[in-house]
Amino acid sequence: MMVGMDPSARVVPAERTVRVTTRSGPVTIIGEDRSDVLVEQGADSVTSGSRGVEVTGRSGAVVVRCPSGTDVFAGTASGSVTLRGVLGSVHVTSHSGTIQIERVDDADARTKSGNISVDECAGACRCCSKSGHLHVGRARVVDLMTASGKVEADEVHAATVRAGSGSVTLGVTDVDTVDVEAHSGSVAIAVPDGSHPATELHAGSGSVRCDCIPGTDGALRVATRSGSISVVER
Amino acid sequence: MNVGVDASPGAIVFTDIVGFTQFTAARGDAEALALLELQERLVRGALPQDARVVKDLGDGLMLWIPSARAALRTALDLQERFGEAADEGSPLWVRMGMHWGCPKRRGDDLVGHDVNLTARILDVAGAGELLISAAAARAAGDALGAVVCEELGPVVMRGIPDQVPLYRVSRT
Repeated sequence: MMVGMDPSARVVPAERTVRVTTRSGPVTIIGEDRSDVLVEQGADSVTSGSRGVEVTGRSGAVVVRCPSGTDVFAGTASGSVTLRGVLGSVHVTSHSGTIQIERVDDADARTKSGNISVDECAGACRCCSKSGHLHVGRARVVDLMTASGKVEADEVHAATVRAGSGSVTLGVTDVDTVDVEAHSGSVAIAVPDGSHPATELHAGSGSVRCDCIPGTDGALRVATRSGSISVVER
Repeated sequence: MNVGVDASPGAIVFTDIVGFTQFTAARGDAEALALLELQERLVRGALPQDARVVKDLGDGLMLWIPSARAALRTALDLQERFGEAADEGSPLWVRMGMHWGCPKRRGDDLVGHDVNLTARILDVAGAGELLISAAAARAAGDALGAVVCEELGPVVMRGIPDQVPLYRVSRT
């Protein structure tokens, strides 16, 4: 055992998948260069079998270290969930905690009232919150849903967004298909300089500004009930 | 009143219009009412003969469908119809939660743990999504083979002691 480590720490052989659940308390899962799974802190039980490594906490912080690229399922009622390092396909649910994801292959993250932040997702990134804010740094495809939170995605190829009252800000690279619906929030989309996407922009009572010359470089479809729409080149 | 009698096993389905409060604030009561009526019309039009709307939940509905396969088919049909309505300009961002269980009857109402659990499953769903419990997945059997079924993992829900494995189901 390493000096300073929780005496309840356990090491088990690596599996393709790690599943972590706890009722409250923060969960941290770290994908790093290692060949086993170290449950560093907070586990009530640790099992390993056909479903992968299963870690159950009760309350208090849970910290798990696993090999880079491990698939993760993590669930908590009220604690935050932080995924650090490089991980594979991840699914995270929290009722009210915030979710922070550093670098993954694919992500499905959902919380009722917490914020969700994904730094980098190589594939599809789905985030869902009722009132929390959603932020994605870089992803190939995003599917973002929130009733009242703010939505921001810095660099994406394709996006589907449904937002109630929060604003939507998207930075699009190599425009594929962007489909945004918003009730009352404003929508701002930045596309690469010189791109000519097909556009369908409908703002019920808000203003519409589009700096692009329409063409066939992908498609932008945006509809708001009352929020303004702007499409600018960057 | 028929109180405390076990209903036969069946599927409990909750629907909920996401962002309804924001839509009502933005567009007013008349459009909000029209949206509710559209949801109910689409639901009643899709229900199998032996199924029923148990109750109106404000911006959603609670449904009872005796067959798990029929419930899955109905929910997926509804997902498509809600999507088509949204494409035509009505923002029916409806999410659905489905569970298989044996609730108690209270008059025309259904109550009990399985009903509460279905409501919690709905809480996890996003706009346009159908989430189902492992019990519903087992009851639907090979009907799931024809759809896309993505495991969301064990979900910890407030007020529910055990973690609940959930699946996200769609036709595409």
